[in-house]
Amino acid sequence: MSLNYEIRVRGRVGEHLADALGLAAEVEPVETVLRGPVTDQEDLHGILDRLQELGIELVEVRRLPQSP
Amino acid sequence: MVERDRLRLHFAEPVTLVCAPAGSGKTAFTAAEVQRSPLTTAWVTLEPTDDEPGPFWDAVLTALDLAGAVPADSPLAALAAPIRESRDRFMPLLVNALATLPEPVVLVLDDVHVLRSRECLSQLSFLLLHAPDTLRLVLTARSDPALPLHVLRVRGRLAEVRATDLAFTENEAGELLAAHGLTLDAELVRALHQRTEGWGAGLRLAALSLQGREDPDRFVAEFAGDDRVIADYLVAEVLDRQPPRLRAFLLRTALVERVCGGLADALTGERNGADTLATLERTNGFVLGVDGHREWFRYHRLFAKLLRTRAERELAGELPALHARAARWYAERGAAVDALEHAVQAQEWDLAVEVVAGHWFELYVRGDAAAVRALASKLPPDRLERDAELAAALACAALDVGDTDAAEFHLAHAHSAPPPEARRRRYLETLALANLGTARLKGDFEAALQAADALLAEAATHAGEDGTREALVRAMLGETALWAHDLERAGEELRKAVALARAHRLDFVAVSALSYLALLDVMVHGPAEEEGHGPEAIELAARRGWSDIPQTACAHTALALIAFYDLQPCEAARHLEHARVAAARLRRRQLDFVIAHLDARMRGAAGVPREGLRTLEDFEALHRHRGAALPHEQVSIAAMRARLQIQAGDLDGATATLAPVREEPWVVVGTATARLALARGESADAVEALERSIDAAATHAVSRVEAGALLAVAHDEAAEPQKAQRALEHALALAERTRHRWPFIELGRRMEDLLKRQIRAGTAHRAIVGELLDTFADRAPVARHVAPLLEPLSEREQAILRYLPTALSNREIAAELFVTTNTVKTHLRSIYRKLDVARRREAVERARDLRLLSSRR
Repeated sequence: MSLNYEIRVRGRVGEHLADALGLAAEVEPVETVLRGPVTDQEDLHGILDRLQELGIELVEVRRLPQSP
Repeated sequence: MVERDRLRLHFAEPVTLVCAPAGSGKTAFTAAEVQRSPLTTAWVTLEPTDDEPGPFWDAVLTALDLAGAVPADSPLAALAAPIRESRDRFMPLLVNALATLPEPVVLVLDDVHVLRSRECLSQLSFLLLHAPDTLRLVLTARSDPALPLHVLRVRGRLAEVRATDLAFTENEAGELLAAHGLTLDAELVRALHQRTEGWGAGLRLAALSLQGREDPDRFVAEFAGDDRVIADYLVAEVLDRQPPRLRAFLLRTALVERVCGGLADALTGERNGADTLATLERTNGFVLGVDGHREWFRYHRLFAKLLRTRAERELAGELPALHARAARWYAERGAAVDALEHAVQAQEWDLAVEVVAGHWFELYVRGDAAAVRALASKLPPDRLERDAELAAALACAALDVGDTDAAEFHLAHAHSAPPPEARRRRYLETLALANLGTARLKGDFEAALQAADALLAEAATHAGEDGTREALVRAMLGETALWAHDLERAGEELRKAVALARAHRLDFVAVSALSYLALLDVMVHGPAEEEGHGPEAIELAARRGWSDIPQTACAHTALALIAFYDLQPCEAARHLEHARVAAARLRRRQLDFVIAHLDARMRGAAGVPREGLRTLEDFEALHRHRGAALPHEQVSIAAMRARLQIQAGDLDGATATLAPVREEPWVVVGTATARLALARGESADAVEALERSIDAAATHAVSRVEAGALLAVAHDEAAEPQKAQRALEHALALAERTRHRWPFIELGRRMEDLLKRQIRAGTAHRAIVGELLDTFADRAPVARHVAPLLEPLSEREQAILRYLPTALSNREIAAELFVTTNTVKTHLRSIYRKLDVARRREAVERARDLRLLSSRR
């Protein structure tokens, strides 16, 4: 059962990049919020590693409440 | 490379941490700094597979060695990476060994963030906190590793270079752009610098995008005004600016690690791949040549990553087909490992299975069976069950590393699935190899021979078969014969395998066969006739960069045996450690047994029989559920265990140990029984046991020498000097041929006396007797140290022994113990005899060495 996460990064992330991470991108001015299911902690760290590899600055990570 | 004088590593602090995100230029900076430093540098690039103590420390020790930082006589040269049992001891040994280095050395651990296991991190912490003055550690990481950095910081023992330090200044950014052939106005440089915040990879990508552009001003203005993530923006910029054909080329060819003209054509369906790659390298540096003659290229790392990310989206539907094309291209050229990797990515299971079926022999012969095992973990379960040929190949791969559970699983499918009609012969051949692998693990020579005959007959019908198959089959057959104790046949097969492997440059098979041949040599001939097979195997493996492959385990075991019997215990311990580390990855019960047995024997020789007993117990515990036992394994373990129990004074235990194997027809049973009888003072029984077993089977030439020497002692105890002389003469004849000296030295003063008498009585083996007597004389202190007690002290004798370090005279001791002086003297004679000494002071020294003076053990 995967959990939904919200990852906020600085700058605008194109859709194809978000796609590659398996997350949906919503651009707010100068920041992008990536949202999507994450299987486990390993998966989450994997996504964060890929963001770092691409030189993307991380602003915030939080777990979304379970939707009913 | 941009010179950055403001940043300098002086290696003044014991630890330097270079911590910054990917693409900041950590590795390039560190490499430039160590190059500049006069200190010797050992460099380890850590891979995710290094996140385990064994591989990790092995990589560190190898790097130190390769850097030339380790003198041959340094304790570091003798150190081997830790295995499970030695982990606690390894770290202090390493720190102490490092402290003895004559010159300081810089040890760089690049990408230390891949270390996540608690064990690796806690061991590295230990090294960080206890680093001797001779060591300067440099760690590079993308994020702060979980190490006690705060402690080092407080103590002023940590130098740090962080992302803000590594970020390019405006001036440096200008230099970097200039290095790419770009001369831009200061304003543009400033804008680029601001936009990238000095991030090295961002600047480099910007430089690539700018090359060949007519309008740098507009590019910079647009780039600066865009809020997209840098890498995302730049790659889109680069890609979208290319003509459609080149764009398609870039996206498709970035899918492989390395690309050449032909492979590029296969991926794009065009014909000018080689020219395009050469042009790309010349004009904008997207690709770098990886060989001298401009045939193979690879993409700039970050660029490749971005291209692949882009391809995942744009070519999503086409990707499997592209991977399949790459897989086919590799497969046609026999590059089975790459072919498999891309077939798996394409989820082209038919193709993957086809590659395995068509190339399994090459994969095994070249030592690449791991790629087949990787496939097994990716395949959908139903595929594993329905293809008999594949199942047989997977079983072979599992057997290669002694994974009997997996092998059984696959073999069951190999038999239950319908055999492929069209490829029936190839299927049967694969199955025969699996059977050979199973028989090898079990030491079942008859079954191995049957499988091998089938394989060789099949090989003979192959058009163009050049002896490759035969080399592999003979090597496996020879190994099986060795474990089944058909030593003559083993020698024959292994020699043929070596000759074929040499002729066809099959180094992997050669290393393996040479390694087993080395063990065979020492078993049959003793230390005398090792023909250099062991060193040859180890050197060949090292030359091919395989110094850590398990196949050298046997060669190290052979060298350990030789060194031990040649009275070089330190050398023996060093090889044994190497053997143990290598064998841990081979999971070959028979080899583990030989290693454990030698280990136990060496511990006995070092005067710590209880440790030897523990070694045997550990072996049994480890293998209780793993692999089949050797035919004589139980007998051999019982004999060694009894021998150690006798040495530790547990005669009842030894009796119980020997009871179930008493009737087994092996020499070692006779020698163990005789040792027990001698310890009980029953010399007639000892003679009987030895004479009964003297012609029985022996796996090892040394057993016969031991039996002969022991028989001489037993006859002498039984007051039969003539018979003792004859037995000794026989043992000496054997020893002269084999150079086994330890069985005589081990028996101590009693043997020394016998040998002196032998000289007086006349012997046909003067040379070796003289040599042995010299050894006794030279090595008196050492012999005293290594020779264990053959016969334990009685309680009364132990009581008297404890008075010997005091100043009391024999008469005073007698008074203390309420006995007569004569009784004390009788006991003393017995004590001296058992301790193998001539006088009171020597008795005290020897008793101390053997820890007999503490009140109760």
